[in-house]
Amino acid sequence: MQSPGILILDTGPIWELVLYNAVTQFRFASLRPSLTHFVSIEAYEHCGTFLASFRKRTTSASVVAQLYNFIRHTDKGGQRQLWELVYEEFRRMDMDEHVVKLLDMDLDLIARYGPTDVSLIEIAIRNFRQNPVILTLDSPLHSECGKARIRSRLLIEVCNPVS
Amino acid sequence: MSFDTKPGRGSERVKAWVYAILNPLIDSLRRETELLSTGNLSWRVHSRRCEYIRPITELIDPNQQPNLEDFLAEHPTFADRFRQHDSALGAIEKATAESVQLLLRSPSFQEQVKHSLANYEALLPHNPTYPDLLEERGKITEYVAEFLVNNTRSLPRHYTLYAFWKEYAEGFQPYSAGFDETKHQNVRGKARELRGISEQLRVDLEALRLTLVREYDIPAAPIDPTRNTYAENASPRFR
Repeated sequence: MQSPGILILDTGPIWELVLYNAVTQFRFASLRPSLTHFVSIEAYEHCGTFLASFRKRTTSASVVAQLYNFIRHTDKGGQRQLWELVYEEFRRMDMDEHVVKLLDMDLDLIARYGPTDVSLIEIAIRNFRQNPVILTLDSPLHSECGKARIRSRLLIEVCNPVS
Repeated sequence: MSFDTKPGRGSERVKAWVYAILNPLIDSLRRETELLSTGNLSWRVHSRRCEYIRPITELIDPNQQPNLEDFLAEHPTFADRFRQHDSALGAIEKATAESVQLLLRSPSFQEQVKHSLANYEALLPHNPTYPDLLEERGKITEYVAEFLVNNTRSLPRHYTLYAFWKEYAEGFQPYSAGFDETKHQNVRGKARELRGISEQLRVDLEALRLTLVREYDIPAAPIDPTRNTYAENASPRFR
């Protein structure tokens, strides 16, 4: 059943999707050691089922900046191909993207968690009526969401659901 | 290979050819032939190019261009082989663009997409896991053309068109005939030609690498990649 809710994706899960495609579909074997969560096809498919269960998927412009930071540390020859995979994920998932201005974010939270995590929390707050869920692999963000009463899921739980 | 001054044992110059030129090319050509063997051209409507099959110079780190030029100066026959590869790739991209253009204009193909979409929408009330495709409507024809040209049999579960393609992919296969038959065969023929060129090029580059590492007594890859001063690999990799 598709949830009417909105799923907000952090950088880690998106990067993991990109890496998985790069390794399995396009044979970038050298990236395999960087895969931390999609260690089996089952893990990838559990995540796919979870992602597909949301009617809307979105992320923050800060996440895109973080993806850039990941990609620029890879070998130059393959960077365009990695960006193509990022575009592909965004296009094929019909991913939306929100911009959260620095001045709209709480200074204390920025100092503790950085602008990317805080922008995701802010997007959740702005879309509270749409039943938002943040998907991350970052435990501190997961606990902060708990304190702020925002639903969040860790990628590790999504990849290995308790049957 | 004809040197004015022959490099010595453990030559840094020869290492640069192996690590910055031969290794990334061999790796990329291996990937390229694997893709081509599955019928996946990695061709994209939006860029009108094969995204994961690239001209030779794009497979080399731009900072290593002088080493590429140096390599070609000593191995001039490979300059022709690289040109042959790139020309075959250009021919596929052009042929695919023409074939897809005709397919997109084909009334029977458009009708098939429309019909499948109508069927899919009729299924929605009975399949609550199926997403509606309101946002995708305008792009579906192009996506389907892309799936067909790349021989895409299935999609990851989280893609919006996953359920649509699962339901209708088989039905679209006969519409490979919706491609202009001659144009479609032309694309497949050129893909086979490129695969042959790439395979032979990889084999010859591997043979040259073996000769060089034996003759100059160097490892085929840097033993400690973190200390390698050459581009290690054209494929993406964390440093």
